[in-house]
Amino acid sequence: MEDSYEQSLKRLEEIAARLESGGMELEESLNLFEEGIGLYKSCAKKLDEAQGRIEMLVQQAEGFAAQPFDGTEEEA
Amino acid sequence: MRQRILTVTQLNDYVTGLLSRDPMLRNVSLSGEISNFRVTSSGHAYFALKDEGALVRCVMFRSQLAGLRFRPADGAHVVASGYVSLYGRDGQYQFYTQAMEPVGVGELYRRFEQIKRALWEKGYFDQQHKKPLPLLPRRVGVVTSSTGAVIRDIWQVTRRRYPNMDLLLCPARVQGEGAAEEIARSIAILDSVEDVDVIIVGRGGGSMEDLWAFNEPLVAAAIFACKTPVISAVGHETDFTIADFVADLRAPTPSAAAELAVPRKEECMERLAALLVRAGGALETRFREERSRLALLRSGPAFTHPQRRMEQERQRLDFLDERIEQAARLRLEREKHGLDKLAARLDGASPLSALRRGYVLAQGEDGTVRTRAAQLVPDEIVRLRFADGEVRTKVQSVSADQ
Repeated sequence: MEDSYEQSLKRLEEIAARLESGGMELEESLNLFEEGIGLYKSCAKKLDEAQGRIEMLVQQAEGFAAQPFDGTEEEA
Repeated sequence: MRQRILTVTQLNDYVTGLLSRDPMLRNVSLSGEISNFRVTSSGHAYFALKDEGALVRCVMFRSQLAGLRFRPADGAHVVASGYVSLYGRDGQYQFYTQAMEPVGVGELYRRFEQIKRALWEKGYFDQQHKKPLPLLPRRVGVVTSSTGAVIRDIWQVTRRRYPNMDLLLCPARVQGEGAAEEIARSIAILDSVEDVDVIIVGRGGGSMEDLWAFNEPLVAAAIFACKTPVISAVGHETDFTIADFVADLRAPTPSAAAELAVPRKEECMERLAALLVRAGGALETRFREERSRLALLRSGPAFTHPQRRMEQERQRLDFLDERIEQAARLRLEREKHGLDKLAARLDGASPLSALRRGYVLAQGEDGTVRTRAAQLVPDEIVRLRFADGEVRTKVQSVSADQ
């Protein structure tokens, strides 16, 4: 199960703190940084995943379906 | 017969008298809905009470107004007591209100307290059950009427803060018969939608009766059982319903609920970027450290003067050698003591003792010991070992004994 945005962000914060505190072999620093880059990319991607839709659930024969919702226009 | 001609005053006085002599009109209990309620500078209240088909003007004097235990407002259903009379100056008959109470509100308050106590005892309001809101919801669920300002306000605030955020409305009636059931059901349905990470439940302002559905135990149970965090936004800022106590968070208005549920996208991006800068910066610093270290090494004596380095190494080795020698010598001393004793014992059998007795050890050039004359050939070089030294000689002739 893919990590939530929150989990990824938390891991990225850990990495930043770890790199700042130093005391690692260069190799380890590079590996951590690479992981950090990956997390940054996946978080940035998640920020753009939602599509700006507003939908309403409407009862169907079996269960519900989401339909575009229009009733948000200002009343005249 | 000529009609008596009255003055207006006379007419009004007559009607006033009529009204005041009627016992029924001297003490009336009237039910109706308040409209046009206003209080003048004199402190007296003027309003109307109406029903579907009729209206009567009312006045309530300051002294009686002060004794009210609620705040009269347009739309409130009340039961008022007073008397009917005519105000001569404008010919209006009025209902002079002496006391007034909202209809059924006493009962509602009682039930509210009852439900609140029962649920509180069950732990529905406990802080430990409150769930934190997600940092970034994938979709925001909303339970409210599909018409009206609530869903519009939520959508507007959401779009402003996070333009591409998705919203999913599960509509429900927010007052009247069956509203509590619809609200509870909508909450459960949204809870089952996997990517709805937060739910806003709300409605606009209204009277206690209007808001009553959100006090129903059914709605409280639905909020309590909901695994997705719930934000309640019911009524005005000063309204509190049971739903507000059970929810994971209460918002004073629907717009505020949207602000709580949805982060600002810009802020998210900034936070993310800041982390990358930190990580990159730390790595950059590390690189600089490495480069400095290498530069230092290269400029140090080990690299610039190899001879000197060798000297140092040699000195080190010499020192080590001496230490080893010291240790070896000590050991030899110990062993020698032991060996001497052994030598003394072996002396009889030792070749050295034979040499001391005058025997000679013959060795070929290659060092091998010759124990028989037959092992030698003429012209061969032989080494003769005496007790006090060595003689090299050439074989002249060999004659072996028969």
